[in-house]
Amino acid sequence: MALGPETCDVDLRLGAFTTPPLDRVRIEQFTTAMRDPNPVHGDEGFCRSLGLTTVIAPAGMAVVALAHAVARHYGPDSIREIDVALRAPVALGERLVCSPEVVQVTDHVVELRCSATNEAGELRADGRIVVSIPDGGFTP
Amino acid sequence: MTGDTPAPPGMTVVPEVGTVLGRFDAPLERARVWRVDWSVGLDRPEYQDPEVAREAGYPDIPVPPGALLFFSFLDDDSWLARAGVRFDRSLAVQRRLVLHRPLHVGESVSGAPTITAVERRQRDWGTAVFVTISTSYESGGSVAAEEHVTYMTRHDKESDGARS
Repeated sequence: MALGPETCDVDLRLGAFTTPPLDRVRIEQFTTAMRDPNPVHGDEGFCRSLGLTTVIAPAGMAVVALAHAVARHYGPDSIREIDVALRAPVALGERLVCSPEVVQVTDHVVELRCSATNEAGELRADGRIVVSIPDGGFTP
Repeated sequence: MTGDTPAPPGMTVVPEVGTVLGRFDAPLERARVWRVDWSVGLDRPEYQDPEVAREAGYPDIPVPPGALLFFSFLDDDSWLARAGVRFDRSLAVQRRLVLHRPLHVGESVSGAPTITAVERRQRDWGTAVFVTISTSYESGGSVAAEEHVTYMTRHDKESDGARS
């Protein structure tokens, strides 16, 4: 399927990307990759001292998931800007449902509004992602 | 208490704009990218197999947008104290990335994360301090990406006093 600016309609909702459950193994892999020492992602006692019931996932996982929700439609090299507000912690075991929606198309630039919720629809992160599309469109 | 002076026990450092939190010059390693891709469930084959990536026209596996995070390239965690960020009081609240060109496994990036904004907002419970840390990722002689991460740190009225 080829897409181009003429088919990136404003208000177009693109297919959502849903992560696997962000379990302890996945959290550990991400924090290892990012060299993230924050005990809130792995130390149950520390989390309880903060009033949490258990560990939480790094916010960066939501950012990566949101970017991928867009990149899988427009290509991994298409993204030019990501601006995400982190609204609530991602709980252990949650799946993030990342939903992009086209809000503006200018020449070969598409601006999307994106949100990451859990499967119950509770917001975890949202923001704006901008992509550029080469002349002639592309095949995702 | 400035960002360069160690805080006595119980006192939180208030950061200063212009403070450089460290410097790095690091490769974008395949293992890092694989861990990020797998952990979040990224399902494109060119994110997993370098041969598939090359057949798709990429020099190697693309680094997923959002996988750049300044502290992951620093040698130690000393930036936390100088930025006034504490694991028990702080949360990342905003991330902004501007990508001038794609990055791929095998390239190297260099940068110097720097505090570019500090804002204090009064709340009923005390003061929320918002610190923005900005990093320009240079690669191949030009800026490939710019990152801005904002942390919010809570300073309760009845606990330590944050002083500048």
